Amino acid sequence: MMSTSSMDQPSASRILRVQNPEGLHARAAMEVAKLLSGFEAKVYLVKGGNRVDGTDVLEILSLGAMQHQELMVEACGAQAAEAVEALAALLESSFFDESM
Amino acid sequence: MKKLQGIAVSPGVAIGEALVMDNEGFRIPRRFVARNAVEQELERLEKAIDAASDEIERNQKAVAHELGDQYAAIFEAHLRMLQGAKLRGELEEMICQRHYSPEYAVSRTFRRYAELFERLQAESFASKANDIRDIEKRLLRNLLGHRREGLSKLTSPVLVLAHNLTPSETANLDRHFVQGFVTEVGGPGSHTAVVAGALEIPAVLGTGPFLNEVSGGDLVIIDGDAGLVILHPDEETIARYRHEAEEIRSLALQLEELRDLPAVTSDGTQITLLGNIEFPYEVDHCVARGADGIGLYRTEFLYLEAEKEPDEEVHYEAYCRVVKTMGEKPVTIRTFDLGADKVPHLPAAEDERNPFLGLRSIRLALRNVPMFRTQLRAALRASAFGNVRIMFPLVSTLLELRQAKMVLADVMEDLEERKVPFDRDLDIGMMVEVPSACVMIDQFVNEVDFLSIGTNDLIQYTLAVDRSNKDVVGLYNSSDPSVLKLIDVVVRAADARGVPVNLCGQMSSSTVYTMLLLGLGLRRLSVTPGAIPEIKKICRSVTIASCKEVAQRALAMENARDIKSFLKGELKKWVPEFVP
Repeated sequence: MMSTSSMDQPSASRILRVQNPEGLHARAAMEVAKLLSGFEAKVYLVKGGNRVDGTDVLEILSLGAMQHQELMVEACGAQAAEAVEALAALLESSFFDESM
Repeated sequence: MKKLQGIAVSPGVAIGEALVMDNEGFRIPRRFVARNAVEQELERLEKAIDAASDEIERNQKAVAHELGDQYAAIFEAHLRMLQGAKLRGELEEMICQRHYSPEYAVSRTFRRYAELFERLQAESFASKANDIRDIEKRLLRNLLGHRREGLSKLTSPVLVLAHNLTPSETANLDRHFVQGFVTEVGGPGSHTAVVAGALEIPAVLGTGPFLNEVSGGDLVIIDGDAGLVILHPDEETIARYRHEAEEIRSLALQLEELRDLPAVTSDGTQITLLGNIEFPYEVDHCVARGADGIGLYRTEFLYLEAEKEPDEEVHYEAYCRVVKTMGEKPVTIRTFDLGADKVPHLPAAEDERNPFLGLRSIRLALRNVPMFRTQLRAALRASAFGNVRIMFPLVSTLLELRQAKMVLADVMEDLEERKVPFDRDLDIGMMVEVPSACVMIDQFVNEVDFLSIGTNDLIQYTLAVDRSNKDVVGLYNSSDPSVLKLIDVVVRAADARGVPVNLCGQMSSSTVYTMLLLGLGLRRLSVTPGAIPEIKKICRSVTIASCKEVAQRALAMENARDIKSFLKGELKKWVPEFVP
């Protein structure tokens, strides 16, 4: 979904499902934060009434997002769409099999 | 002002600054900072975060270099957690708005995250709480510098407030500056209680949770007589306790004058007053009070304070310190008196549903002979430097005593072969603390050089009562007639055979029982070092004839309560200043 906010900032949002077997925990959360830091966009992750900064590892962890659970991603900024797209690709790829 | 009621485990009054410890032995720092210091404190936080970040990066590089990037990734995660904007914002807000110290803000904030992760269902998340604690500690280490060290590096007098203290935490505490203990959990017989008693500082345990109401540096009063802890005391309370502390000091000074006088009854019978100790440094307390020797040297601390089994040198060093200090005076080393559960390096006992009736003490020693031999070898080697006696605890059958003596004889032979010096003729004795040993005492006296009656266990086993169980603790009573009769039987049998008999339980340190015990024929009492002056004072105030009368009358009574109130009455007659 692509829209334009009142501030004339591009924004994007999408519901994503976590595929990583271990859920979004330390290293997976770090990969998410790292990825999102690279975009010119403010990205929030929303789950169960909590809305957190997608570049803050501690905050992502505190969501406690498990495999197969859904997350809402909300982004705004020049690269909002790209950020959401990239995150979707990462989350749905079972990208990180954590064993530490 | 807030008063907390706990269990009084070590008497005295202490007034001073609080040192608050968290579960992991970290000091919880002062809670607030001055308004005008906020800028400075923010800078301190900034620096600590930078320093902690540098450390993590160095770790990351080192691990990446040695094990590969994959293993170093966890450090990158730590780094990002530490540098998160939300965290920084929360910390700064606490310092600026609430004037929390950076240390306090850090422990509050990280604790919240750790709890949050622990609540998350999945195990993989709960384990992240450990990562959080790891980062917290790193940050605190940087904030606190040398001030973080548990109890070992202190620079001013403190009262230690903690949830619980482990033997390893108390092992290295700075004895010069620690002036009292309060713990949220625990009770009589816990390690903290033992340590407080040994240090002769007031302690109150089992207060329930209160640590979130106090912070480092607060003024606190510990009343070790009433089992009270007073947080944020008002002026009047402080003044009252200062006065009380002064009175306690002056009474102690009066008793100190007795130090070099003998414990002789007014009709001329010499009583031997020995000290009970657990830690080697307590030998100094005994010397300071003019003890005639060490009647009970408990050696359990050696096993409790170390992660691994203490080796022979560890034992030897501790024993030598005590033996050399006492010179010609006897030092009675009791071999370890522990349950299997207290010795971490031994395999857990399988059927330990009733630890007090289980594999403990001499039973455990005879099952683990190499460990037993290590201790015996060290004790024997120390005997070359003074007057050592070896005592076996919890002996319940003759066979056990003989087995223990055989192991000892074997170790002696071994030392002889290796030409290691020791005292070949040292006295070998046993604790009398199981009713079966009292019943069979006529046999035991033929096979020992001395006996020592351990009343704590004897009472527990005679009345079949667990004194830590509040529902039955009322049955646990030193003045129970059954206990008195058993002591009487043992003393008579020992006297008939000319075997010296000592009494070393808590009963011997209590002024109420001194006349009774002398009347039952005991001439050797081993007491907690702090009680030596009081007990000596009683010995010097009474006659053996009157004590015998007291004992005869007590033995004829039916129940513990009558006996105790009778004994109190007699004490009041003879030594009025000591009635509680």
